[in-house]
Amino acid sequence: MRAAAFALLASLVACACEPSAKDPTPMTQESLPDWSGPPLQVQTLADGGISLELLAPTANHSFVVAAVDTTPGVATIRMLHTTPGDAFVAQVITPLRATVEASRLGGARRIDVRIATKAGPSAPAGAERLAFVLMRP
Amino acid sequence: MNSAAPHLRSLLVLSAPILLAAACGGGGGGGATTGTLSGQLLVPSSSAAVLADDAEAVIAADAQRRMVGGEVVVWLEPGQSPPDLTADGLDLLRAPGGPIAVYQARDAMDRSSLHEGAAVADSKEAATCRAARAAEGKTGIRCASPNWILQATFSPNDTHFDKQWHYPQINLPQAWDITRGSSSVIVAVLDTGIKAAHPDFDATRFVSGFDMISNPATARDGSGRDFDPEDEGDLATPQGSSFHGTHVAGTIGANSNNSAGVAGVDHNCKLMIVRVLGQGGGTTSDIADGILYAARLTNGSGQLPTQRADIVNMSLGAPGLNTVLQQACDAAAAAGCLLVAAAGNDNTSDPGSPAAFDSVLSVGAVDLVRARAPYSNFSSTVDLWAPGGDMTADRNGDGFPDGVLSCGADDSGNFFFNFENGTSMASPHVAGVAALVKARSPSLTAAQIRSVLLNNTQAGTSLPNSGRVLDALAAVQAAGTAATGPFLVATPTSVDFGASSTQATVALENRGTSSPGNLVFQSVSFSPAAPWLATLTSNDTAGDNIDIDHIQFTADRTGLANGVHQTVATLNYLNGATPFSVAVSFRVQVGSSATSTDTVFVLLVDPDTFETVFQTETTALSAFAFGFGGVTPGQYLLAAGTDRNNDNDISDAAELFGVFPSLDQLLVLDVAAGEVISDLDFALEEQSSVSSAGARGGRVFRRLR
Repeated sequence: MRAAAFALLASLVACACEPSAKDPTPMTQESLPDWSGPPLQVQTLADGGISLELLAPTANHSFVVAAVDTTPGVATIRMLHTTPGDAFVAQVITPLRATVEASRLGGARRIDVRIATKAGPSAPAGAERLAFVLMRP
Repeated sequence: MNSAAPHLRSLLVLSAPILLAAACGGGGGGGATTGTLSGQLLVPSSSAAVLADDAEAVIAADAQRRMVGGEVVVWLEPGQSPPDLTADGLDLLRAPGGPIAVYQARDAMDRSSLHEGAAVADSKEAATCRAARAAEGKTGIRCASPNWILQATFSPNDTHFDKQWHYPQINLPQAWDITRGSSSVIVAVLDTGIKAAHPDFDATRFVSGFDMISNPATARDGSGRDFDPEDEGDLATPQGSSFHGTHVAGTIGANSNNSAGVAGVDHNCKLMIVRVLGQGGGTTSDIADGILYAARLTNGSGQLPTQRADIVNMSLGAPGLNTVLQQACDAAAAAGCLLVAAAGNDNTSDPGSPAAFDSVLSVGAVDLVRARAPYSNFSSTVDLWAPGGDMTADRNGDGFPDGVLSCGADDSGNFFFNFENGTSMASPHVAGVAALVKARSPSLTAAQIRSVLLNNTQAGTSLPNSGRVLDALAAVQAAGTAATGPFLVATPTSVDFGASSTQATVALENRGTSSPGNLVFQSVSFSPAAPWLATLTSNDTAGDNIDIDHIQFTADRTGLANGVHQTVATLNYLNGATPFSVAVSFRVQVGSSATSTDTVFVLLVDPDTFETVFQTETTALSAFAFGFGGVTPGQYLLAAGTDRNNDNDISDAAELFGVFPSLDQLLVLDVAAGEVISDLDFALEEQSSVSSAGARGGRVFRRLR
């Protein structure tokens, strides 16, 4: 199942990197993903919503939807990833899932996923990184 | 064994004797009990067999395997009588008929054995190996090998053992033939605590644990430090708690061979659960005090366990080097604990605590093919690699992610078994094997156990810093040579009568080397009671520092219900030796036919059409040896089975059936012109009407008429 998810992810990335002629918001340097954190999987749900799964390297991370901003044609999902910081934690890979309902995406054809990271629950959030760009037909 | 050498491979059949003499070559291999199948694939080209470049190195390695010293077994060409090899130093010892004959190597008979202190190159065993090589290629002889003693590899009957790929990967089942651990060894698990009610834990194996979490809020149990290490949940994700400690402890010591759940690495060790991780993780002070507690050193809790742990597993970590924690680790190591820790999952070469400390054995994670798992840290401080899994893959095609399977729980109180991956999963494999090493040789210090683990490893796949992978078999074998004081060893360490055998003998030795004393037999006890088992003791060798050196077990199936019956026999001797436990089991299977009367059909099958291309037959009379000659170059599947109902299908219910290398995994043999492929070991299993189709995916294997 995970392999299938990755396959889907690969197809989505390909989709993001090869915008069609009809794409209203072509890819620019600013829209190239610069996220270097844990692996992220993004899937489109049957109802048009988005499912996100962050593969956290250890226990005690959190990954939540901070906001969803929409402009005509583009929806930006802003995620907050909180690491355990300097705490001692179990060294087990931990999938963290979040879902954004279709109604919050406003029918956007382009969906950006941006992630800000907090290095510990009490630390300030760092700058957002673009983790994923999803183009939809 | 060199696959180009003209050795046969053996196929082990279920049920029967513990010790099996292979017809030729092969060796190792597990499985069961009434016989062995050996064979080779030969093709018409006349190219000679290629010997290993360093023949003496191969001989030196082979010489250390168990064999009947001085005996060489040959497989004759069809229709050939045993040739006269007197001029080659080989005297015909016995030729019972059929394709197998046994010779005695004269040069070997004058030499001392390895266990008598001979140097490897000059030993009886090495001379036997050389004689076997000399016999190969002689007219009328297809292949030859020392008369290996094959011991059935223990395979626990836990329901999900077949999904625990991570144990065969480290040669653990073979190690279990030597030891399955000792209740005298304590492994501390510093983690989130434990769900002790999980049905695959044996409550009697827990010793004085402790909840070292000082903050009642993060402990989530309403109190600070206390004697209850129960895992109250760490709420590690929005989906719920990890119950990570339960998974880790299950890998080390889940209740094993209990016909349910999973197997643990060590089947007998005691578990000391020290809870140090709560909601949000753990603090330096709590973990440091937990380490000191496990080592039975003064700590902030004011409490000490009755006995210190021998091994401390820490599947936890944090970035950077924490000096306070290092002090605790150093103190625990100085007190005699072997500390083992997860290297971390950040895919970095940066060292972390506590794994990077010199006093801690740092464990990286490998995947199913022994390559570095994509998340595993790879600092130069990683000492050893062990299976941590990679759940993004299913490389063995078993339908499950390639994670480590162990005990799981959830916040609703449900218990189950689940796959996880991480260096957290790799570390307990090392801790568990360390416990086996300690069980094998109780006098070893923590430093010596560490040395045994690090110096008896197997190759990985392009691991960073020339890293090596944990090898349970090599480690416990090496541990067996390191005993000093009075030291009782039983061989074999387990007796499985299978479905038909009734007698087995266990040899007992005093392996003490420096001051072995004289062990005096006191008693043998059984747990649970085993009225179906009788014992007879004897002293076959004088002057070996032990008065009773053999014990014969006789099983009586009369009146017993179908199923597996098992007990543990504990052998007690006076004068200082740790009691030794021998697991004894057998099956009652009324209505099952004996394998001694079966003809086994061995097939080479086209992997695309599943049609049988070549076929040979073998029986118990030839020790289930097999061989193919004149195989057309190409690709084949290798399968074998009976056809008791005469319907040509050798894979249906009630047949003995197997595929190479196992029912869980089909491999295609690529036979090139002139190639000799050896060591095709695989097991036959009796197929039940509800057997999983496994790797054969429901395919039917048909014999030719």
